[in-house]
Amino acid sequence: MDTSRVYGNVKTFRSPGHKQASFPSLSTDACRCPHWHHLALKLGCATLILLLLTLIGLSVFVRFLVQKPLIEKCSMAAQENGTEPTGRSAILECPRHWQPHRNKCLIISQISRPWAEGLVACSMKEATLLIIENEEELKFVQNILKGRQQLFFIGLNYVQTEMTWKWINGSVLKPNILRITGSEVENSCALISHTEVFSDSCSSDNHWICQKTLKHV
Amino acid sequence: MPSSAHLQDAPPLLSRTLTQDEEQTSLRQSSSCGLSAASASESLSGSTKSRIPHSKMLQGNLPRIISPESPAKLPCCYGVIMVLSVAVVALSVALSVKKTPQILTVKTYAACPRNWIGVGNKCYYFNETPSNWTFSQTLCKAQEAELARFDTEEELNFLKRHKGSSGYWIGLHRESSSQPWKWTDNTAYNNLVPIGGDEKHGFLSDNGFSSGRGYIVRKSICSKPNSYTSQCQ
Repeated sequence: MDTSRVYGNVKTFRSPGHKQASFPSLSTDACRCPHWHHLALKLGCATLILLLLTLIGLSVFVRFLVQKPLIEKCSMAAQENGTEPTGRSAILECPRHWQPHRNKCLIISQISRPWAEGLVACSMKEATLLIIENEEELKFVQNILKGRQQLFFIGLNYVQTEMTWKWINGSVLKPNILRITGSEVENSCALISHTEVFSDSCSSDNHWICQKTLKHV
Repeated sequence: MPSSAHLQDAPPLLSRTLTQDEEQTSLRQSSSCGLSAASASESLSGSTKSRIPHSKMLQGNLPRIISPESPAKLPCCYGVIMVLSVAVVALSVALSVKKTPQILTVKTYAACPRNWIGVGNKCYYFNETPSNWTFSQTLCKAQEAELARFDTEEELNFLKRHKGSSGYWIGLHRESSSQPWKWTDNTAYNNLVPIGGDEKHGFLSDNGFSSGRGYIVRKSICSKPNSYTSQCQ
């Protein structure tokens, strides 16, 4: 009877030991490594996203800074090239850099000088200071000058002996074409802006507008 | 009788000896590798129980197979992170380099109000809205300044360099073409540079200095003493 009892004890001791040992070890091994790796991967991905966003932001910022000089360069507007034909049988074109208008070509000077020097400069280009022949032409010219904060001599001056404004081609200014703001005294020449026509001293430094008439066969 | 007693004692001793041997055997088995334990369990239990340990062993192997691949991916992530970090650092350096000149520029004009340019002991402001000479002076006074004045070559050269292509009113005026030029505070002009034209109000053109009639509308330049210098004095 003692012998049988001893065998029974042995059986009872063995079976629970095996079960307890196997389950915890397997479950522990299965959970630990994958969990740690998952955390590492998540942190890595988060870091990658943050770096990408920062990189994009910095790139945009750098491009913005780089573009500023380009914008400044672009601000120096290119000169206009007008090459419209007159439409008549003998089609003539304006020279390069000149602005066409009906049977005329117009150009604006790049420098400032007294009126007399402007007149000479125009003649050297086989042209004369601008003569405005009608109200429509006045509007066209002032439209060209929009955006310019400058003043321009035209071919109109005050003749003291006759007490009247005269164009350089000898014709007298008609009151309905344009009105002159300012003094009517000796040595007065007309200045045009995008809104008004002034009387200033002919000795003052200003830009000017030349005109060249197209000749037809 | 004594002989019979001896014979009776013999069986208990034998039985005790066998018991001890069995205990030692069981201990040895438990201390040895698991295989022997498994075999022991197999012998004890039936075929159904024996399958369970095998399935557990297979499950145990799976995590080990997965783990070798994870370390392979991590280096790739680390590499990409390194590259991005270097790029960010490089861009930051580039930005700091570009910002440096701006800081210097700001410091150069630190003693003048915002949008004013400091030259010598004066601050200059370019007013881009055209108006006549008198109104231009009024606009300057509204900013505690006067139409622009220059007293030295340095100031003169600065104005010439920054004039652009438009004319700008300055603070020179005179009673008539035969009278001497004066500043807005009526102090005499030192004739540092000749003023062209025959009129009474001076302006800066792209050809130097000229004069025109006061009612003409032009841009203008204001000037005032440098506040830092004023404080020192």
